[in-house]
Formats: sequence, C-alpha cells, structure tokens
Amino acid sequence: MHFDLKYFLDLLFSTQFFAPVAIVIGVASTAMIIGIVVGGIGGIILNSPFALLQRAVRLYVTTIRGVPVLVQIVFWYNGLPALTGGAVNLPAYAAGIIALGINEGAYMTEIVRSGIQSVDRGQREAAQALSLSYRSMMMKVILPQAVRIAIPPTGNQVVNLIKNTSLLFTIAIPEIFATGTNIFSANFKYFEVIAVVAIWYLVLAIGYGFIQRAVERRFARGRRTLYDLAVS
Amino acid sequence: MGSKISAWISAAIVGSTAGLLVDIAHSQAQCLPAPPNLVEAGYLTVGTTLTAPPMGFMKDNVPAGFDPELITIVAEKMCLKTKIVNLTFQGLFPGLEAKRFDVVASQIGITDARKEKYDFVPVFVGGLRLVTQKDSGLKFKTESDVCGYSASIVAGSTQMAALQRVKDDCPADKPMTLRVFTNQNEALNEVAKRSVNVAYVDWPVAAFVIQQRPNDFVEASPVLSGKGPNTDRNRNGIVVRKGETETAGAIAAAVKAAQDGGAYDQILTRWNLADGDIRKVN
Repeated sequence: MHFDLKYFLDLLFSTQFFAPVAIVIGVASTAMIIGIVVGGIGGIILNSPFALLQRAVRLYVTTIRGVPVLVQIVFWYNGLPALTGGAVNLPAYAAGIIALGINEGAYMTEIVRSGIQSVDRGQREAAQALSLSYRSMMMKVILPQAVRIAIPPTGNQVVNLIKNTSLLFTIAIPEIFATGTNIFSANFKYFEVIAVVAIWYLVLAIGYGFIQRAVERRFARGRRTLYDLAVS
Repeated sequence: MGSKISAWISAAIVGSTAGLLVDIAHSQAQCLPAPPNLVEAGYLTVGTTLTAPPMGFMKDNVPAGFDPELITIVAEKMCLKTKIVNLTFQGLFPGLEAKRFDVVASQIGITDARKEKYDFVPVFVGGLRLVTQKDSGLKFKTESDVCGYSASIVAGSTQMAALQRVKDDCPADKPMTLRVFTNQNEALNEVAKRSVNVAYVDWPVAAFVIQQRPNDFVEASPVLSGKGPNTDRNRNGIVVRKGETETAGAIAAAVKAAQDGGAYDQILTRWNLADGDIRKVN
C-alpha cells in the first residue's frame, strides 16, 4: 500500500486550502440566500390562488430539477455567451452563483410549499375565524410554523449545495476540488490529495450541522409541552 | 499394404501440420510482439483526451488526429485492435495507474517530474504557444511577460507548470491571473469570449485554431519550451507505467515500424505537423 502519511498530514494542516474553503463558504452562502428567497416566493405562490403564476412556478421547478447542475453551470457560463453572441458574458463567479442559486430555488420551492401545507389546517381556519387578512395570516401564523417544519430539509439542501460547489471546477473557480486537482496533477499523489479534499468537505458539512442544530433549537422555543414545563 | 497406408497417412498429417506451422510462423512474423498483460486481450486500450484538434478530436463520431491515428497504426503493427478511452486530462495518469488502459497517448510532454513516475516512448516534438484575440495586439517573448495579464490553461499541463514557475516572481503591481480548465478547447474558448487575455496551449492546437478561425485568434508568442529561455522544447510521448519495459519496448518497436513504413509521415503531412517530427531531434 502506498500512502505518504507525512505528505498527507502536511497538506491537511497547510494553509493551501484556506482560500478555497473561504470561496466555497462564500459561494454556497450567496447561492443559498438566492435559493431561499426564490424558493420562498415560489412556495408561497404554489399555495396561493393565482393559477397562472402557479403554472409558471411548476414549469420552473420541473425544468430545473430535471437538468443536472453541471449542465446548468455550463449553460450560464458558456451557453449564454454563445447564444447571445457574446452580449451576455458572465464572469465565472457570477455564473456559478446564479446557476447554483437558481438550482437551489427549485428545490426550496418544493420544501417551502410542503412546509406550508404541513401546517395544521386548523391554524388557517382559526386565522380566518379571527378575520386576519391573507397577508397577516401568512406572515404571523402560517409561515413561522412552516419555517420550523422546513428547517431539516433545508439543512439537507445546504449540505448538498456545499458539495455541489465542487462542480465549479469546470468553470475554473479555484475552489477545494479544483485546488486538489491542480495539486495532484503536478505531484501524482492522488489518494493523499483526494483524502484531504474529502476531509475539508466533511469539516464544512459537520460545521454546518452545528449551525443547523442551533437554528432548530431557536425555532423550537415556545413548543415545549405542559409536561416539559412541569418537570423543568 | 496397411503399414504403407498408415505411413502415407502419418506423412500427410506431419506434412500438413508442418505447413500449417510455417503459415502461422509466417503470419506471426508480420506482427510485432504485443505488450504482455493487456487490459483487454487483443486490444490496445489507450487513454486520451479528444478535445483539441489536430492532435486528438472526434470527427464524425470517430477519433481523429495525430494521437488516435498514430496509436491505431502502432496497435496494427502488433496485430492488435485499438480501444480508445476518452476522458479529461487530469484523469489520464490516475487511469493509467489504475490499469484502466495500457498506455496514454495524448500529447504528454516528457518532463523530469513525469519521468520519475512513468516511462515514455517519444513520438513528437512538443512546444507551447500563447494565443490571444486577433485585435488585442499582445505579444510575449517568454512566460514572464504574462505578468499583469490573465491566462487560461489546462489542469496538470506543462503550460500550467511553466506559468506557475514564474508567477510568484511577478511584480506586485502586475500579478498574473491563471484560470485552470479541464481541456484546451475550453481554455481557447475563454480567449474567444474575451474573458482572459491569452490561452497557453500546445503549438499544433494553436496553429490549427488560428488557421480555422483567423478572425478570432492570433499567435501571441513564439513556440516556447515551458522551461525558460534557451531551453529545448519538450518531446511528447506515449506513456507507459514505470518498469513495464516489455510494453515500452513493444510500443517503441511498433512506432519505429510506423516511421519506417511511411505511416508516420502520412499523419504528419495530413495535419500539417512536419515541425513536430521526432526524428529531427533524435
């Protein structure tokens, strides 16, 4: 078995991956924010009475979910300039963030939609009995409860997004996998480098896990049952 | 009478067997020895990157260009069929290690770093060239002149090593920006899109794309070696796993046969690559 332990440890604790990790965090955060905004709007539309808008959102979701992320990235980066004869020529970071954000928006639309639909029907009826407007009902009653339901699937999406940033190597963004590729293409230490790359992604995913637990705890406030209150 | 008949029958059997053996030996004499332990018996499995004409590309769904055509002739000399595995450049060396193919034939420059891990059969004289937009007016003499500009390159290539060698010596106000792609076609597309100033590619790829699209591309440098001024251009070769001397020997003999038989010249002429003739530097 060939494993250069010294090289592996040197690379693991070197600063070579700090900038790429910062890029992954930056790109993933921005794309996730775009995805949550787009998904929030889409999910609310799908639960609203506007049939035409609903059709448009459903078309968007079906299309984006049916096309691989890699194809979408290449479309935004190389496809658009080719289509528009160079009129639209997005820089790599813009193309990457938009592609990942729009891709995320489709999945978030479904998550928000099902989150809203999971809120007990009785809540909606109670809001209507209290003569709350549609806007008040959504903002004060339905959405806060839907958000709590949507947090775990959203967490899945964040981890997937962090891993999907590795596809940006095709458009020469120097993220973690691209940096690893450059290193092992020069020194041929494939396994050691790939192991370090995998560990960095794992660190990011586990790190996000802590954030998710904190968010879930915050949204679980006020849900303690009478039993919890009695024993605490 | 019975013994005479059996004698005749034995003679006939011996005679025809001897004749058959002579025939087999004769036809085998026309086949050069094949490498042992092929990935697939009867086939020479070749790893390559078919994204850069004229060295390797897909033409009407068939691999064409210097690399696939030469390796097919080499395989034919050993009476083997060719199986071409097309993947990205950075996957070629790991694939060879993992024995997914017998050899790699993809314009691989023979560098000292690579010679430590692999063995080579030289087949072409390489060289690197910078390519820019037709109207950019940029002209470079060596890699150090690229400081202050942006360049697109292929991951793991000699061009990448060449630019990274000088990148850190660029003055602080003139940094070199490198954008690393998976194949030369994409690197050139960056120039066409005006997203970078230059692409650093192999000289035959540069010559071909400038000939095909003279309104989009123009040469931005002489043919460089990638190792600094006044150094020899790298030879390019077919890659074999380290220590597989029988394979290397078989391939080398087949390449020589291709050169002696004229097939090598035909390929060079077809793709306008006379400047890469390996026999000129041997």
